[in-house]
Amino acid sequence: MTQSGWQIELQGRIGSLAIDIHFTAGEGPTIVVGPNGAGKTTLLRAIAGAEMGLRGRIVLRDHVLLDSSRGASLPPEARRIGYVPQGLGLFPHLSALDNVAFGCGRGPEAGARAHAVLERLGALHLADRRPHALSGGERQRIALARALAPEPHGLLLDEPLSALDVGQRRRTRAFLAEHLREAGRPAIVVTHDVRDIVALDGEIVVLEAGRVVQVGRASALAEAPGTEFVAELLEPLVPSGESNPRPSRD
Amino acid sequence: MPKIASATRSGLHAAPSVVLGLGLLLVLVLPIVALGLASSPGELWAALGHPLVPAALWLSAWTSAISLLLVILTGTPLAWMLARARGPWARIIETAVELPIAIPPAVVGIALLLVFGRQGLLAGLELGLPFTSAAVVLAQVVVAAPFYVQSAAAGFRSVDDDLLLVARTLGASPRGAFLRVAVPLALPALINGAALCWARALGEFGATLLFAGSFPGRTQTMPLAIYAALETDVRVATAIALVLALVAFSTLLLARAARRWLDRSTSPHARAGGSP
Repeated sequence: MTQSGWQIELQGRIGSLAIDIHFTAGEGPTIVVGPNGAGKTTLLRAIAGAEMGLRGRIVLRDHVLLDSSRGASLPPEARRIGYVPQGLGLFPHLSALDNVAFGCGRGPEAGARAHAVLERLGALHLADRRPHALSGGERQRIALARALAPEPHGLLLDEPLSALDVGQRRRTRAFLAEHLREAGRPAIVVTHDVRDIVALDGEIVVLEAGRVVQVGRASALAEAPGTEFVAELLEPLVPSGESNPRPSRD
Repeated sequence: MPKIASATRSGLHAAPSVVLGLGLLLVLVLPIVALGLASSPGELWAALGHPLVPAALWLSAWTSAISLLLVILTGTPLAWMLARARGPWARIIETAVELPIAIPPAVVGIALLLVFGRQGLLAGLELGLPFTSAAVVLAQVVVAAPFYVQSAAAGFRSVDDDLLLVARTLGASPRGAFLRVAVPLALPALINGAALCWARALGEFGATLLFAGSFPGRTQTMPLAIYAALETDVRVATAIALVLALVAFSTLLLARAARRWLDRSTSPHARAGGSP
């Protein structure tokens, strides 16, 4: 049986946080929101293969990444998941091109592939620069290029726009939304920003205190918010008249 | 920049602190200057020909090189484990590793005899270690390794966890992530630790004297040769001392240059790409 998207069941304890996360999500972008300490980053790290303390089952399309009941857990290098952590995690000692080529194997083909990915993302002119010689938006592009280069089965992005200033954020948001659609692979994006939710136009998973409290499209969640957090977050999406929309901060 | 400079100057302007600082500087530098002035080049050359000197030089060179190699080989994985580990055990082990820094080298020498000596803990193995060149190496390793491990662990600790996870998700094995990400990023700390460790091994005296003795050609390293020469010919002692000081000084300069070079090659303006 072929399956699409994500199927995630995770239980366990990370530090003081009890995790009990269950959800399935489709091929399009999945947006994870939640207050600080809700377990968003823990969820991404668990999918990437870093949180060995959690039990459960993680399936992406036909690939079983974790199945504790059968004692199966792939190491991160075998999961084929592109992961962009909150600080982007660019290797400071490598040029942009070498960052992108890192996951493309060894030899001349690696460089050629990295070259091609940079070109596709319109970032070829940055190839020779080190990460600290790049602007926030450029860094974001390189991080996305690096995650995409080994052709992963899925993508994880942890607050991809949080480090950017307002202007860069708007441009990079549009870029990200476009390329996530183009990449054609399931992506989970953690964000705090309702404008990201609108731009990515995906299914929303709301995490609070290590649990999924609500799942759905932005419009449905805005209409019937399950918790105060959801109501607060999506308030700008509520048509005026029903409530007092807050002024946009952008 | 000017603001900081003037603030610092006015802060240190108080005469007593200037006198105190210069006092320390004088005590640190004056002996080295005296050492440099003690012998003419001709005397130095003649002293280096003294039979004790070439043997001690050679012994010091190869024992300290092997010690450094052993420390890097064993200390790098240990530092990595200490940097990754959390919890009370890691802290206890770390303290144990640092212990030889706090303990006087002579005490280390006695302790080594209590382990490897004729009546020591491992006497049954009949290793015959004491008073051999191998004992010189072991004494150097015990006394100098903590400097490397400490510096390397600090270097590894500063490597962001996320970078290692990203490397893994890009297909690197744990070993690959270590070699391709952690080691290059910790390299300045590794070089610094290696330089300190080697300098400490080269200068090792107390533990070596007690555990290995002072046999010319076998266990008499440069510091021990200085001590031996003092009893017969002060000029020979001074010459060896000067050589040791020069070697230590160049090590310091080399390590600094290497750190600078590494810093520059990862700094924002290193490449033609320029700043954003």
